[in-house]
Amino acid sequence: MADNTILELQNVTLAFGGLKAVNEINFSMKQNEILSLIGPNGAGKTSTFNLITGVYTPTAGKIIFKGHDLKKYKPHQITNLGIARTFQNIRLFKQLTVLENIILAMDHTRKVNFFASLLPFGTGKKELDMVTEQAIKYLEYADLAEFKDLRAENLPYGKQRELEICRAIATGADLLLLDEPAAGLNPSETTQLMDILRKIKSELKKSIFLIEHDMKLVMGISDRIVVLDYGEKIAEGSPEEIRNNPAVIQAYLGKGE
Amino acid sequence: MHIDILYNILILSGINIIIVLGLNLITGVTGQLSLGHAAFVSIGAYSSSILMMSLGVPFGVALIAAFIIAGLVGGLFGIPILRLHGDYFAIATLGFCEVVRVIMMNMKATINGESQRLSLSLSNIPQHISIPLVLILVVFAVLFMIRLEKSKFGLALRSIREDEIASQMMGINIARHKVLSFAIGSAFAGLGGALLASYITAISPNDFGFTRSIELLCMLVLGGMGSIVGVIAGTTILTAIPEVLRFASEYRMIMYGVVLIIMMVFRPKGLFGNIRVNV
Repeated sequence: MADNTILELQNVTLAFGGLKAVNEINFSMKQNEILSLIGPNGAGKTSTFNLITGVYTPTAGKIIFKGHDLKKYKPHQITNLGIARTFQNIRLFKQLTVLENIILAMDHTRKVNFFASLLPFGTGKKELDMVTEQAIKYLEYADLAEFKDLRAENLPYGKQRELEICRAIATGADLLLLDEPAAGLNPSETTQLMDILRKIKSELKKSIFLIEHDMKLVMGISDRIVVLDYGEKIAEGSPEEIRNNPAVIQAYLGKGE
Repeated sequence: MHIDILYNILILSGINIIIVLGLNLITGVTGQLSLGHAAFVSIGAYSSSILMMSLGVPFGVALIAAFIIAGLVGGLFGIPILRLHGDYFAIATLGFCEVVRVIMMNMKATINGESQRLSLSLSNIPQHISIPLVLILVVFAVLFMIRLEKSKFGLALRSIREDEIASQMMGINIARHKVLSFAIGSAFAGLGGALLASYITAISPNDFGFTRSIELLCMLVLGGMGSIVGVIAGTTILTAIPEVLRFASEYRMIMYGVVLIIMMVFRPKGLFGNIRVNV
C-alpha cells in the first residue's frame, strides 16, 4: 500500500497565533487518483494547498511527497520535485504569449548556461528550438495551439483556465493541485473541464488533488473526497459515502431543529 | 545649432542610454521599481576615476573595473533588499542612494599623492571619451540587452514581472534571478558612470543624488518601460531638451516637466512601450 502513496499529510497543523487554520489533518493520496478537498468557505482548503506547495511551513506535523519531507524544500524546489498548481484567481503571465507561458513551465528542464543562451546560434538556439517544439506539443494536446502567439490576457476566460492547467502539466509534475478550476465557468464549460480532468488521469496518468465548490464536478469525477470544516477533517471517503455523511450535511446545511 | 551642443548631446545621450538600459532591466523587465540607480552611476564614476588617478590604471581597465564593482555592490545590496516588494523595495533603494551619497561625501582618497576629501568635487579626471568609443559601447549594451531579454534567463525575469508567485510555482528561483538582474543592471549603471566621469572630468557626490535617479526613471518612463527602442528615444529626448533649450535658461526645466505630463496623459505606456509594469 505504501508503494503507490504519492502524498501523505501526517498530523499537519498550521497556526496563525492562536488561530488554527489547519488542525491535525491526516490523509494520504494514491498515485493516479483524483482526490477532492471540499468544505465551507474558510475551512482551510487553500491553506492546505499553500502548505503542500511550501508557501506556508506547517507549525506541526509532516508532509511527505514521494518519500521527501517537504519541510526541507523551498517552493520552487517543490515544483521541481513534481508538484504543480493552479490558482483560485487565475495567475497566468498575462503579458507574455501563450507559448512563453508553457516554455516557462519547462524552465527547470533547460540546462543551457547563461552565456550560451545569449547567443542566437549554437547550443542555446538548439535548446530553445527543442523546448519550443515540446511546448507546442503540450498546446496541441490541450487544443490551444492556434492561440500560441496571443498574449495570455487576450484569451477568453475559459481558455485561460485551460491554459493554466496545461501550464501545470508542462512542468512535468506528477501531482496537480487545482484550486477551484471550475470557478467562473458556465455549465457546459464545466462539463468540458470534467472531460479534460478525466483525460489527464487516464491518458497522462497524473494524480489530481482539487479544491472545488461545484458539487456536480466533485461528485462526478472524484475517486475520494476529504471534507474540512474549521480547519479539521470531518470526513473522508467515496463520493457516495460523503453524500450521506451526517457530519458533512451538518457542516454545509447547519443542524436541524 | 552649434556643433559643440550636438556633440555634447550625442555623447551624453549615449552614456545615458547605457545607464538607462540597466535601469530598464531592473524595472522594465524584472518589474522592481528602483529609485536608487544613480547610486550605481556614482559608484562607477568614483571607482574608475580613483583607480585612474591614484593607481594610474589605464582607462580601459578602469571601465571594466567600474562595471564589475558596481555589479558586485548591486548584487550584495540586492540579496537582503530584494525580499521586499513593490513600494517597500523602492523606498529601500531610495535610502541606499542617499547612503551612498553621504558615504562618498565623507570619504577620502589619495589623488596624485595627496589625500583629498571626496566631498569637494573631484576634478581633472583624465578625458578619454570619443564618439566611436561611446557608440561601440552603446551598440554592445543594446545587443546584450536584446539577447538577454530573449534568453532563458530573460524570460524568467519577465515572468517575475508578470506574477512572482506563479513564477515561483513554475520552479523558478526568483530570489536568485532578481539579485542577478539587479547586479547586471547596476553594472551597466557603473559603466555609464565611468564614461560620464571621464567625459565631464569633474564630479561631486551631489551629482548622483535622488533627483538624478528620478531623472533616469523619467527617461525610461517616457520611452516606455521594457522597450529598448523606447530607452533610446526617451533618453535622447530628455538629454537633448535641456541642452537645446539653453537659450530659455530657467524656463527649460518647465518644458521638461510639461513633456512628461503630456506623455502621462496621452500615452501612459510611453512612446514605444506596450506593457504595463505594476510596481
